[in-house]
Amino acid sequence: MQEEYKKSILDKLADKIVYGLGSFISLFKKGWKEKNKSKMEEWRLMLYALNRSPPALIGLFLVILFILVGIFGPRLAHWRYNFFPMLYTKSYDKIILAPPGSKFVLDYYNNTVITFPLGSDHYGRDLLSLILSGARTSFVISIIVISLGVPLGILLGLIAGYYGGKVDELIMRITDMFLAFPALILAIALSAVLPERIQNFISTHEAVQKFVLWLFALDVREAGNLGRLLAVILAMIIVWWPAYARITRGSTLTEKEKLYIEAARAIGLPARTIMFKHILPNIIGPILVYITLDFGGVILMEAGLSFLGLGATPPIADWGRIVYDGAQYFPKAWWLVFYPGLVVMLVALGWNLLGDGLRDILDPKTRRSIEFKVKKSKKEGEANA
Amino acid sequence: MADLKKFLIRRILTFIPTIVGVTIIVFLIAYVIPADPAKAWAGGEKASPEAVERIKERYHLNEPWYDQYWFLIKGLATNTLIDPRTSNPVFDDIKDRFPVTFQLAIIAFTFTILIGIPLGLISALKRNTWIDTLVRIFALIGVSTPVFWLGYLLLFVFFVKFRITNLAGVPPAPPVQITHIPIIDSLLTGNFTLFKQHLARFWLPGFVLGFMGTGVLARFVRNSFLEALSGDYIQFLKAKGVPKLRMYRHALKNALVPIVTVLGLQFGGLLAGTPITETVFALPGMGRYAILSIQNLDFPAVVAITFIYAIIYVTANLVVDILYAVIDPRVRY
Amino acid sequence: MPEPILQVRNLTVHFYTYAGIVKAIERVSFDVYRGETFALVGETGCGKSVTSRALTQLIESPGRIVEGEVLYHKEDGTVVDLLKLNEEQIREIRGNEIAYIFQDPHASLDPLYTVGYQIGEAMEVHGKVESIKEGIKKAVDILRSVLIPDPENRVKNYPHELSGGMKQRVVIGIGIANNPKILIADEPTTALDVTVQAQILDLINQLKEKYKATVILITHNLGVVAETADRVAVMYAGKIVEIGSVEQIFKNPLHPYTKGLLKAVPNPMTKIERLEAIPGTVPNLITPPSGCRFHPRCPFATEVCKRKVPELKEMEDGHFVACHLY
Repeated sequence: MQEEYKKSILDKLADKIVYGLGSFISLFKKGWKEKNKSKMEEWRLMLYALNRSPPALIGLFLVILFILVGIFGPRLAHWRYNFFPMLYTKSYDKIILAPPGSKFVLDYYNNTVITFPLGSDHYGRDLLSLILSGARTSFVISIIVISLGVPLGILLGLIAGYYGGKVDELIMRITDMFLAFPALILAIALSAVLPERIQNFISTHEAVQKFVLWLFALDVREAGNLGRLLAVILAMIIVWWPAYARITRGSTLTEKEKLYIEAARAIGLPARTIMFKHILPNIIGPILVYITLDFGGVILMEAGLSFLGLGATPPIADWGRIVYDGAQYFPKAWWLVFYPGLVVMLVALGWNLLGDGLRDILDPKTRRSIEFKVKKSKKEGEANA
Repeated sequence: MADLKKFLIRRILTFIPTIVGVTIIVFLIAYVIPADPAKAWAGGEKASPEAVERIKERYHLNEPWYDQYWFLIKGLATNTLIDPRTSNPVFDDIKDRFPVTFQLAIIAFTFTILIGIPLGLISALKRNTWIDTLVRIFALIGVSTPVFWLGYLLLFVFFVKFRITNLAGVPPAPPVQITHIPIIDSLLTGNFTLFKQHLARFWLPGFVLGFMGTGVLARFVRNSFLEALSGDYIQFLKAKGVPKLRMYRHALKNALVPIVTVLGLQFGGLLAGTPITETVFALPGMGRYAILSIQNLDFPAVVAITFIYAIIYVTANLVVDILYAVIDPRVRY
Repeated sequence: MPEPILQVRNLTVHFYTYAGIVKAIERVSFDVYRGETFALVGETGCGKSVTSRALTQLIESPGRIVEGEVLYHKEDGTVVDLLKLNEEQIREIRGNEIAYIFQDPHASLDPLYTVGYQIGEAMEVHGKVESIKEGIKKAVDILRSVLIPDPENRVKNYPHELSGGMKQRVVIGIGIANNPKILIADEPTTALDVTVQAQILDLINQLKEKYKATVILITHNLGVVAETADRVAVMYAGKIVEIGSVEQIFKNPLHPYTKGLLKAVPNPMTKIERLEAIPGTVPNLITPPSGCRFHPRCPFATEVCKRKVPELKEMEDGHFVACHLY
């Protein structure tokens, strides 16, 4: 195939990603790649457009960094979250709340030298290691909340919008009940009342407990605090789905009126097929943008909840919780507030930049201008050739 | 105007099921979800069996669910729900804390509106210039900044470094109370020293709380204003020979319709942010009280506060809907 | 010799878009005589709307009036170039001496104000009434003159409470509120039901007689032209290809495009056997065809048509055509 674009490294990477994805899907569905050439071409153009938007690229970079640290953070961290250096040194009173850059010799730990690039907390733990391990907590929670809360909302919204009538009335009344509360307030109340029941459940289901501990990269010793952690997750799922139900219902209602849906009904396609194969793909674009933006929202809310003392308890590494504990020593130990908060902001900013960029790409109005930019560089490429 | 009245009645009628919905959720939180509410209310693990039994008796926990639900509604409506920890009716404990939270939200809201709307209009009129880009960045940073982080950052600057604000206590309410919101009352009664004291204590937390929404509002105002300006009727107004300023007035009124909706949502966001702001700035408000109550396993207080937050929020939404109808004749019928 | 009220010379408007410069209209020239109904005819996108709006500088960014003159002969005999006026001076002319009626009455009115307010406002901004309140009182008479029943109550209505035809009457009411010398009606009936279209055209004609105004009618509907216009200018791809009286254009069309256009619709003046489409498509105005813009679709095109832009030539009294055939 003749290539007519002037390509950056990122464009070439985009090609590889799209073709790789196509081949990957073709492994399961024979001939998918050949059948969906135009779709893949569109994806490629979207990625090219993304490559030409610096803010979106910065967002993508931050998000990828967050995901990587979320997965590998606990391994990258030099010290485990439950390693308490103050137990291994004579100068334990100095090692706690040590400022950034200080060094200590752990005389009861083979005289190992411990450095605190970002300072230490009130247990003398290394803040940098805590932040790296804490990425896992944030990452797992946001993934679970989004991957359970959003589909639940979309499903209910689709059903309400498609069937209408009493089903719609019932679902939307329930949705409205939840939307009558400011989200964080409801999350606070739920996080407060849920833990005990969840803890009882966890303690009696060892497999679940093991799985959750593995997810959060925690030691068995923390099993007793999982209830609080999971309560925050459940609380956030409960406050997160109603917004999606409402958005999905709205777009389903407008989509349902279109002729092709009427045609699909007329030829007697089952409701399930119409909803998931015809309506959903056509309304998913804006919802994807919301999801991207909401990752930032979930991370902010989780940090807020743990800043209020809900959810993660020490020694579990959690960004909001570090600030909650560190705030007592503010402003003396400012680093305990400053760095974790900064990290939360950067991660949320990353998701928001990416979401904003995606919105520009998916919005036909701005998309046109981006496509022209792509074509312009294509022309320049021709001129160079 | 007649249809406006009809709209009002209809809208206020739909307010009732919303309140019922709120009580149902509050009921679920208070009586259904906790594994053992009585034990929690009596103080958790350390509670004696007799105390737990007494609590069960007092809060009808041995009765069927509908009895419990009725007990809760009656308790909330008549303020007869007794806090097991303080032995006061719950709303008595909240009474002094409510004005702090409400005042904080009002001041934050004022900041949001006073900065957000003009910024959005400037951004729209100077579209695609550096101001516009700056507002876009500001909006993105606004939604990405944790409230507590910004709070401590500004505390460091204004309290630790420059001592421009203080953190101790809250100034008293003026002797004559009209709205029961101290800062408004002191202004209404002409008590400017007290007004200044309140402002000195509240401006920083108010700004921090309002910060998040300001950029978003500005962006939204910009987009709605541009959308309104691109309307055909604006072209027609121009063809009519209407001066520029009057054209902007038409566009602004049209843009206000979506803006008012967003303002309602933002007020909800502000309310939700009050517990964090109050914690950072040591303000003895409702949100802070809720957090302390959670630490003390004092659930009736948590339930009552959650209920009040919801009531404020749905009332704000009611006001938004009414404003909406006042501005836009199309929604009245 | 009829007396001109508007003389348009070399009017050129370009739109600066991402895709390139759209040459929406190029060196358009024509005269409009006092008291006549002048029709601008052409397909969608040929630039007739842009032309009508450019007359009073109603061109929004990214569009710009690149060159040209619009000479307006005032009642007192003075002549002004409308394109040279500053913002405030042109504002005083718009809606006052030159008024517009737009295509879509559903979008032309501000949904948040009563129709009375919007008519009153049109008078107030030109100092015809002291306040909008007084204007609303006068609006009752205006609504009556555009044949709206029960005008006393209708002034208090919001646009969404009126039907399309009623709304267009209100728009026309706003147009005539200040007794304009020129009324520019841009596809005034396109967005309306067929049954209402005739009523609206009738109304415009009646009002034209009553106020002794000049009407510039922009339309793609040749039937409407035959019924209401005195003279016609035919536009194609941003250029005027032929100007003449209704008789001349319909009975003796000269330009191949005009001929094609008349064969493509039922001709109201001569009987034709069969409707024929013009082959080809409307050209892209970013890179318009060289020479005569119609040459790629023209059955009589020769070498010269590709090279040279044809100028308007007077073939008979008042009948101009821009074509190398003549």
